[in-house]
Amino acid sequence: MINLNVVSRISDDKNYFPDLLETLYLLKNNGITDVHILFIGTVYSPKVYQNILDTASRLNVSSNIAFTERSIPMNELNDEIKSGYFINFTIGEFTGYSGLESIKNGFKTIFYNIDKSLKNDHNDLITYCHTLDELTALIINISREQALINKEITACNHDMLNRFVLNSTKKQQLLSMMLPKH
Amino acid sequence: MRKILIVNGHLVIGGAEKLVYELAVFAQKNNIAPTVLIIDNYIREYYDPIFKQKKIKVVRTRLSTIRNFRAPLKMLRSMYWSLRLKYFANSVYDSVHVIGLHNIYRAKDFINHSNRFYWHVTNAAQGAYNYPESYFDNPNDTLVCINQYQENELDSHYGNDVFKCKRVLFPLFLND
Repeated sequence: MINLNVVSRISDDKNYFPDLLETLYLLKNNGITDVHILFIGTVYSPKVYQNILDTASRLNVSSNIAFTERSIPMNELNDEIKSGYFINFTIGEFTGYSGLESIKNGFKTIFYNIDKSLKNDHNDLITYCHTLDELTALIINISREQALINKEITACNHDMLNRFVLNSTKKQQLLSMMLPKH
Repeated sequence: MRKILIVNGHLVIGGAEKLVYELAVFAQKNNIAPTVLIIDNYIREYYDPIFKQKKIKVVRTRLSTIRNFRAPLKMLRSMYWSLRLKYFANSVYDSVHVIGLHNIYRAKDFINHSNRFYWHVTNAAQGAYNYPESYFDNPNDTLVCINQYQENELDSHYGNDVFKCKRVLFPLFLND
């Protein structure tokens, strides 16, 4: 069983969910049927929510998805959810706070690029999936060599952490933005 | 103690709200008193108790002049904050930080300050740019991008000439 978690409110500006359903579909075609996605977030758009249900039904993956239908702070998730993989939507290689918090919490975090115009903006880190094919391939690899891939993902996530701590130059810059006359 | 004002529309679990939190905590750690102003939304949300515990002041009010005689206390409070931010913001706060370009309309005409920072927290893939060019016309204001892609998107959508305001890049950060 591979549990994927998506921490995002269900809303128009985050509507990249159908891509993930397509991944489930592609995985099923590859004989991998034990992948589940839990969508963790408040439903702000019933239309987007319904579209996820309809797409899942059309792709015959309805039994592979579930919703919390409310936002839950990451540190309050249960241990079973925490032990899964957290798929985080990114713009190229930019990740927002949900991705930062996810790696800070020590969750195995995978970044999926949703701006296809940036697909050539590439690095070769295992945790960054720039296309649907890369994401699908990664999950196939997880299903084959879970322990090894987990280790690589965890190491990669850990290396990212330092990027988000302010160094002294950045601290000074932020202070001068808060106290411009200083 | 020096003060800053951070403006947003919500305090729910979300990225923009997390930025409000990190800015407020950073300020507090550096002996700057942050006030978090939530405009047009009186619902108690996720970060309210967290800020309360950290002794970070949260003000929920409206700044536009909608009369609300059914809630006179709210109306008086709203008038107080409208006047305070329209005429005295410069003397009270060192800077004003508005989170999200979608919140500029709540602040630009209501908070007069010579150091306003507009934090841009979304990208083009999340929705087309439909903000008026006038948002960027004040040379005293600063537009803060949190990633390089936003800078490119803004330039290709508006053209560089539209930006009379200052522009800086400041990546997202965690305090600890």
